[in-house]
Amino acid sequence: MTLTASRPQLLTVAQAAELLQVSDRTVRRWIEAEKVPYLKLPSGGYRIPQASLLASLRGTYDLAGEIAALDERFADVTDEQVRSALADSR
Amino acid sequence: MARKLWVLLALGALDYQIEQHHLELQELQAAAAATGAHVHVSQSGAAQKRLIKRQRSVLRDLLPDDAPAQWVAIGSAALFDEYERKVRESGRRLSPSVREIDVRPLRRQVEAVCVAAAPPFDIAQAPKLTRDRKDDPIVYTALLGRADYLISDDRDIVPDGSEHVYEHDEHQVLATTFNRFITTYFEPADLDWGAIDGRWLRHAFDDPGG
Repeated sequence: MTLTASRPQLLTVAQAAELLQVSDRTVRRWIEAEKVPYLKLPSGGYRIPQASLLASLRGTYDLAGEIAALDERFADVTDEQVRSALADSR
Repeated sequence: MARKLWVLLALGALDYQIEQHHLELQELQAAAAATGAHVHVSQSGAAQKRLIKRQRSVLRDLLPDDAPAQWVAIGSAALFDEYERKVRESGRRLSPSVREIDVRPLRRQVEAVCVAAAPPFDIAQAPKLTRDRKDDPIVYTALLGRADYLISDDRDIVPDGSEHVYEHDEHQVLATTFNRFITTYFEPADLDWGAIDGRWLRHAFDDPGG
């Protein structure tokens, strides 16, 4: 966690695919559909800004709905239990 | 309490994304000018920025006036993968109702809040930093992302259960437990946590105009 913004990260198609656990082809499809901002290099390669990539994909999911559903289902689980379980996990 | 911190990190994430939108555009234009490349701005970019501003406004109205927006969480593929692994491994122990289909939504929550990026790296190249090899990419993410704090209750990351300093490439990060972070390092120290509801996290990702 930081108090300051970091320099923008420009990802290759492969790095973007790895980050989001999708195929290179899927990332190229997003580029072709102009779903994400990108830089097209003279070599034909692409660079994609990470923050914009993540933000643009948020519309793919009903994240607010997912969070509300998870909150409701796990309402009886305390923060302390979660932290303890994650800390104990090996 | 941890969930309340997530709400503040979500507020920080919204502010950060607005700032990053400008910075990324500048970075793309600078790279384009240097290489003769072409910048393509997505058609949905402006609409996305307006949505983020609406979400920030909703969250700001709910939160106390002195709720800070400057705390930003850093993520990486390695961090998200390790979180997913831990949820999958310990989720069932935590609650019998945790199912496999919950794992990806839980990961998406973390991805959505951890908007600041550490530079991508191969986890096999992460230096040995902790006594558990699986935790090295977590600490390395914090170091590469130039984080100020790494919050963890994992004894392999914070061996003495209080705090531990990690260093790499002339950058230091203070790994500290959640409770110590809140009581010692969080600012403003006098924030009224009782006025924050952890269930507000959803508002950071809802579309108030949709």
